[in-house]
Amino acid sequence: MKVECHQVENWLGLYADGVLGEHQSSMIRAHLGSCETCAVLLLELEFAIALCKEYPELDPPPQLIERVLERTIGQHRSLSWTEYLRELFRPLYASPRFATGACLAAISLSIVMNALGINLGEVRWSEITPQSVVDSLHRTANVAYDNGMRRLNGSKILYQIQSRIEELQGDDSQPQKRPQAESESRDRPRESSATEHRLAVRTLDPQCGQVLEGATAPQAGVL
Amino acid sequence: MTDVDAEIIEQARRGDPLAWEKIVTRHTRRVYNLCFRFVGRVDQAEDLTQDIFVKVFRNIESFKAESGQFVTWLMSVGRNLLIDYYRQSKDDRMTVSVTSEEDDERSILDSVPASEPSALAEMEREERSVLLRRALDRLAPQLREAVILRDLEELSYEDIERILKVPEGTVKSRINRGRLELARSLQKLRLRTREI
Ligand SMILES: [Zn+2]
Repeated sequence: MKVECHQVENWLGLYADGVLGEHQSSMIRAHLGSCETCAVLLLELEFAIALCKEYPELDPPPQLIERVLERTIGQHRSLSWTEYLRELFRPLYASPRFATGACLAAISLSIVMNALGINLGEVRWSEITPQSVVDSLHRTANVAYDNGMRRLNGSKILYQIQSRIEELQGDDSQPQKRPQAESESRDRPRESSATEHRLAVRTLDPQCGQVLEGATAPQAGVL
Repeated sequence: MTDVDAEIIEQARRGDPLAWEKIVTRHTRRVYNLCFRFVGRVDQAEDLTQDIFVKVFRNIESFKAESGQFVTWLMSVGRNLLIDYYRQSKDDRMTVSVTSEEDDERSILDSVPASEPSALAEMEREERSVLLRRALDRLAPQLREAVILRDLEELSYEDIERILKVPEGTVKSRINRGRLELARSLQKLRLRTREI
């Protein structure tokens, strides 16, 4: 049975998803072989879907959980560090994107914490805001992901974390030595967009460093 | 994963604040990103995330574990609130998109900063995200939410049916039309970018 272009259009978005039955799929394949317009349309569709899939996942701002808790139960965070991290990185979602981001962030967090000699069980809330540490690591993890999970610059992460910790420990009079774009992205008004977010990501230099390999397996136990 | 949620929800229902805190910590990232994908602005996404959790907190009694996963219910509450929000601000949006569409596009494309050679690959990716945002905003609300749930949130067809409360055929038809319109919109925007 021959199909017309308008019929193909009714199915093409689903064909790109692979959810059509074999009968419909084969009719569409046959049509695509002889109709350039529909073949180009399929390419455009695939491009659109690919674009959706690479749309950046944003890190929620550090205070957001806090604000939600205040507005609902009227109190501040009371989970311990380890509980907090466990909840934050719980692999809840079937989506590979969510899972990979959280997993990588967890891995890099434990590497950094270990390297800094911080025992997660001993850290107090008053000393550090875990979400902000996690935030910077999420960015690191995104970079690592972009680079095929291979190249993670250990010293850069350490530098970032250290400056973040110093910053959180107070003394506003002391000038902060954190990377330029990082401070820009934090100090900017709330209109910062996904684009800016990605720009901030790039301030981490994803060159050299083989921290990720070899260090992953034993660290996972920290969480 | 459902059973872990179920246990904690039961505790939260009984008024255990620690259980509620765990729920919030677990899901904030997902809810925040859902909001951002719908509205495209981080400040609004923050406010809406809070509103969604307030609504979930008040209505947690009405979640029935047997009717599906908590995360699907959460997304469904979120989506309803986002749609209400969209309806309220619809007039503003329409005015903007009708009167200054051309200018708007140009200014967005112009605002992509000039790239250094080393950052070129990433720059193109930034540009693609801006284009996608633009194209998504042009879609009719019903088609847009279908595309967001399927291609950005990467939810299954079954979950989308539950969230939108429409039959399978309707979900598929909206996803199909949404993708087609998105693809055409992107194509037009890309051609304009080249002309500039
Ligand atoms: Zn055709």
